[in-house]
Amino acid sequence: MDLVFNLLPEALPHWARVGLAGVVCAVILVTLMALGPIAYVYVETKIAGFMQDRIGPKRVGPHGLLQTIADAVKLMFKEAIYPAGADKKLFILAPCLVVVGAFLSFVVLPFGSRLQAADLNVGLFYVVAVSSISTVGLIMAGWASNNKYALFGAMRSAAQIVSYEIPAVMVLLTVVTLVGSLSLQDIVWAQHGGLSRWFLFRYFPLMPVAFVIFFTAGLAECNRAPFDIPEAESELVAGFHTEYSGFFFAMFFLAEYTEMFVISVVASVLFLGGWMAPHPLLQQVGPIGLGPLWLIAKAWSLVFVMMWLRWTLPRLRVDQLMYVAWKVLLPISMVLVVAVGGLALWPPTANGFPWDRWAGWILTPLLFAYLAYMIVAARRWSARRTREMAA
Amino acid sequence: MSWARDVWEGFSTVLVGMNITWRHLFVNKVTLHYPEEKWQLPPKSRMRLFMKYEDCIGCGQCARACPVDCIYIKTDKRAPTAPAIWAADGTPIKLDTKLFDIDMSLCCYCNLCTYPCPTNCIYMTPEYEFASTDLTNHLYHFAKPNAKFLTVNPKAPAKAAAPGAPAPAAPSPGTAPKPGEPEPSKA
Repeated sequence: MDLVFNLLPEALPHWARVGLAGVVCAVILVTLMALGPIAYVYVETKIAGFMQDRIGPKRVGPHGLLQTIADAVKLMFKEAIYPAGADKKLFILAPCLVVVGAFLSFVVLPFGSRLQAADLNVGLFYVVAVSSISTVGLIMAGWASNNKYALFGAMRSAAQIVSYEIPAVMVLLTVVTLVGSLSLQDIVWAQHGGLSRWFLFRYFPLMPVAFVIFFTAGLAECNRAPFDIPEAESELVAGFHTEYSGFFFAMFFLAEYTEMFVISVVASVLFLGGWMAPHPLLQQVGPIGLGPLWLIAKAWSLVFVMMWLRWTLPRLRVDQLMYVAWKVLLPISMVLVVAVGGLALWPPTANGFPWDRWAGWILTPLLFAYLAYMIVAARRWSARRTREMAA
Repeated sequence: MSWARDVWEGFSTVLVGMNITWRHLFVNKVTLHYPEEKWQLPPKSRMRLFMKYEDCIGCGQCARACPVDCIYIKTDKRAPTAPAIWAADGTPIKLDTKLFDIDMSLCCYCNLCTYPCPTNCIYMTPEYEFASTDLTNHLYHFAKPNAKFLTVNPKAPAKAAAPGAPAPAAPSPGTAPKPGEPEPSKA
């Protein structure tokens, strides 16, 4: 925001410059983030297809690239139907609130050292706080629909988000104790200096567990499979958005994908070094900083993992969901808070164990090598199978 | 410690599943791009019916065999002045088939009509792309009452023309000519 602020002429009064800068930032962010889900939906349908040995959308545009645009246009022009007995005001307000809750987090997400709408000193706390707003919207949607499935979905969603916020916040505490600040920019700078300094690899066996817990809780918070019981289509038709149609439905969709992106960005900022490159040499090409690209690449990889998980795992039952939250994630995250807090107080190894200098440099290439090997193995298996089928 | 084992099993089996889906991202896809690529049909596929009018003797056995009554036949006795004609297998055609309609929207693709046909003139083709927005497009007219071969210089089939030739191939109760009828060679 200060970038835009400095661009504005100094003749303007201070309040006008602040206001204008805010509006410009908001317009840029909202435009980008409203267009993002179009890409995510396309990628998701393609991934879904490929994981099921299909090819996904193909007809609209080259390789189906325009499919989601066509879908979005269709949704916008569809009639919004208000169910009989619905509370019309709440019915309209609910999707707006969900979208606002999802978009508010963008204020503090750091896309670069200065590419940030506002560097709040309570940034992390702010993200946690505003992401709860959408829960209110979901309950409103369930209540206003005058539909039992919608209400079931909304109540499930509330129970789920309340449960999973606790381990998520617990894990955030571990990072905050290491950094000593809630500002996302400070958290990124604390991971300055390459892959081995990322929080994912600090105190080596501990912080990866924290990352997994945060990612799992994040999945649950944005109601993604395998934690999508609020909209479990085999049980609840469509959950809280059963009665929504047209543009309101599109807004729920938008909010879901935006939340996925927000959770991924927060996870990359906390554990994967935010806009820091894996090696300081890769941080910029000449004078051009690659920070935003690194952050977006990391966030999109995490979004990809979310989609990957969605098409891998079956949906959890409600009691299993609660079991995972309260009996697995919460105890482990509490132990982590104590352990990491204790280790951070230990001065000689303030930056971690001796072996977490190299853990990241070994594990990351190993992971990518394994994935690449699996690609080759899959191609070979596929070719052999094609030959057998032909014979 | 069963708790720890549960947690570990839950986590590791997720990784196993992710491994499988990752592999499937890269295997060959099974999708057939339908209008561009088509499935190769097995031989004797039962698709749209076809009737070769030139060989039809108008016996109506297909219509009687049809379980859904989708074949409509109307025949007249062939005028005595009209030249004698024969089906490809030598069976004399004694009836003028004025109407031979098959309603493919009723057809159940059972193939029962093709077995009794004495001249093998009705059969299933591998043609299956005949969806239409109008049901009447599924009513196929096979009769060609004005066809040239009915009146102009009919040729006796070589087999039947030979004197004393045996009954045409694959005689069956349906195909055997009636005792009183003249052989095509005599006509």
